[in-house]
Amino acid sequence: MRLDGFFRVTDQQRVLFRKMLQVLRVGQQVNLRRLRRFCSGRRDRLEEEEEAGWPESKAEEKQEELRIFYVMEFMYAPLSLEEDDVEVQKFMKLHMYFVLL
Amino acid sequence: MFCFRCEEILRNGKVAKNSEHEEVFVWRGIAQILHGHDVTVRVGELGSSATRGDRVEVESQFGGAESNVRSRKIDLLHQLCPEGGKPIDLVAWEAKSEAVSSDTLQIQQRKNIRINASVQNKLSRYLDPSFPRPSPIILDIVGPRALPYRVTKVEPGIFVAGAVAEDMIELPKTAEGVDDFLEGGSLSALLRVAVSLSGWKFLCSPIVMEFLILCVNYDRTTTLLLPRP
Repeated sequence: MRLDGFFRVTDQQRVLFRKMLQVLRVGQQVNLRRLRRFCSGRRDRLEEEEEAGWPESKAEEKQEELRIFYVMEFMYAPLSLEEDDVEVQKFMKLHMYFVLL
Repeated sequence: MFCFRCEEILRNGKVAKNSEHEEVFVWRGIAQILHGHDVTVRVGELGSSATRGDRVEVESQFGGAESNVRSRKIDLLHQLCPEGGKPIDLVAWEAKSEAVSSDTLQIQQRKNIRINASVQNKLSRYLDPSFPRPSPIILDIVGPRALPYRVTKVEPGIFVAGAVAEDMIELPKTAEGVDDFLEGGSLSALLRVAVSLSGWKFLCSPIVMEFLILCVNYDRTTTLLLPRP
């Protein structure tokens, strides 16, 4: 019943994951918004390519890549929205400070 | 739809432990992304007709007088939904909250094995016995973690269940969990779960589907003679 390498990360996936983790971490800070933008940007581009038609030899690989971006967006987009809120609140506080001045 | 799912996770991130239904919605979102449009993931404790059929048979063989045999309720039922035909069950996943006891989890697993044995039993009636049928990977979900395993028919009436890996697939709950989710191989494992079910997608081809609609609608036990791929 055991499937060898069920949790194995393929070379193609590893390249993609490393890029995602690079985007995610800025120094010691974790920035989910950057990851969200990266994933949605790549997804948009892949979807455009899909509409134009992938070469048959690449279709499976591209489909998997697209699924990875969908899953990552599904998992992390909501958490990154909280970061957006924090940024907006900071901006509003600053704005109010200047208005009061 | 996508925004609704995101909000679901966002809300869930603020509670210590999700309820069973909340877990079902998170896993449903992921399952639907992984399987694409060919497979529909149903929620809401739907009953599986395959389990009902098997229970009726057991009742009749053991002389039971129960006339109102019900199907078993399933948390995440994967189906092919042909237009104009009854849905065809492919695999069932069960979910429980993290808060449940280990006894409850064992009961869930035993139930899930029986359900999937029934589902495969019914599915196999439409295919030639020599046709290679990959067993789909089943998930027993406990909060953000899931045990992947398979149920395989070895002889008529005998099924064997076994885990496909020693570890469990784990979804991250916070941003700090991204590394483990990606590099620990959980996302790669989820993609393999989807591949295990894609072997059945040939049933979606129009000609095969037309034949299956006929069989399912008239509840005929007919063998579909397909050439080996």
